[in-house]
Amino acid sequence: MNGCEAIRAHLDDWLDDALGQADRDRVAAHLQDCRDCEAFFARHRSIATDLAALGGAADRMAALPVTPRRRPSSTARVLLRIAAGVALMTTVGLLVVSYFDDSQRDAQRFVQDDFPRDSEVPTIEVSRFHSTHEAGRIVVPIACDNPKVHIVWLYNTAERDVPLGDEEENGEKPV
Amino acid sequence: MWPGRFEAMTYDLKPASSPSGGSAPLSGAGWTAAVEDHRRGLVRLAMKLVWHRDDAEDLVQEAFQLAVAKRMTPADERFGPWLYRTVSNLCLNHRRKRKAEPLADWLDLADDVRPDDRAQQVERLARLREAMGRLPDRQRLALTLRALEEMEYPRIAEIMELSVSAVRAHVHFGRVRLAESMSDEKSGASR
Repeated sequence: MNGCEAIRAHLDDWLDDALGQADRDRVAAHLQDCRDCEAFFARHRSIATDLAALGGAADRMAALPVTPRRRPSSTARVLLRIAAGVALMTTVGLLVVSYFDDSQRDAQRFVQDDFPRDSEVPTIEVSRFHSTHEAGRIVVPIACDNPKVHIVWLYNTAERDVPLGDEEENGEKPV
Repeated sequence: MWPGRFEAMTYDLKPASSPSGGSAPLSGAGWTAAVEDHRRGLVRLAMKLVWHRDDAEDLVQEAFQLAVAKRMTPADERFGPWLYRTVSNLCLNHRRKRKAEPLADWLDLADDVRPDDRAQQVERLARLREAMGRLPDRQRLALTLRALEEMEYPRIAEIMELSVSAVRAHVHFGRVRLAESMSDEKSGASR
């Protein structure tokens, strides 16, 4: 064991102030000459001082007067836990049911308001029979009793030119 | 004393004779006084291991309940060391559910310390407390009893049911690990 190791072997007794006079003097003399050992011992001394400070803080916390707490009996605690579990499951279940209920209600509202069950999807009658031809425009009346139905008029060229008023003769039906 | 569970323990207990059959059994008042003597020391120890007042009180309470279940009495010479060992084991096995008490209000720092220095000290002590919590159980307990409780080695050996040399070894290696941990954190923090 070299000099530093022999000195460091005294660390615990040095920290505990349990070294004999001769060993204490030997350690002190070595620490004056050896920077590494001096830093090593200083670091451990600092930690020991901090540990004592922690111990003091814990003692002050423990010295607080106790506020007596009355804890419920074990049976009551079990019943409380069961009640809490039931309440939690009920809440989750209600949330899930209300979520799906809302979704279906929205779908139903859409169906009920826009397409009443007892009626079919409204048809849009575009009748060329009642169209008028005015100054280069064809005015085509479109009838639909549901204001929410948006009519998108797609412009396109006619595939064939069917003269107005000739549909019945040609066997065509209103679109 | 305390309402609730602890009252039931102190007033319903029938004093038992000591194992040797020699000394007279304690009266109810004697039991209460002996329990109170031990209780303060046990709560101080438990605080140094779990760092939360309510948890410390609960664990000490549990240790006394175990003593009653095992029919141990203050007249038994093993009573004190057994209680300390039981409280220590309960604390080491305790899974912390609540945050440790903050240290800032409980440290005994000089009034002339600058706020910056005070904050640094508080932070350093908090890191040290965390590092203690990471030590292996025996090293942590041995170092807590020696450095924080300032207990003598023979008493620590009696509590931990180890030889004095084994306790010294645990204290030594606990100190070494703690120093390494703190210097690793310091070098990591300075990067």
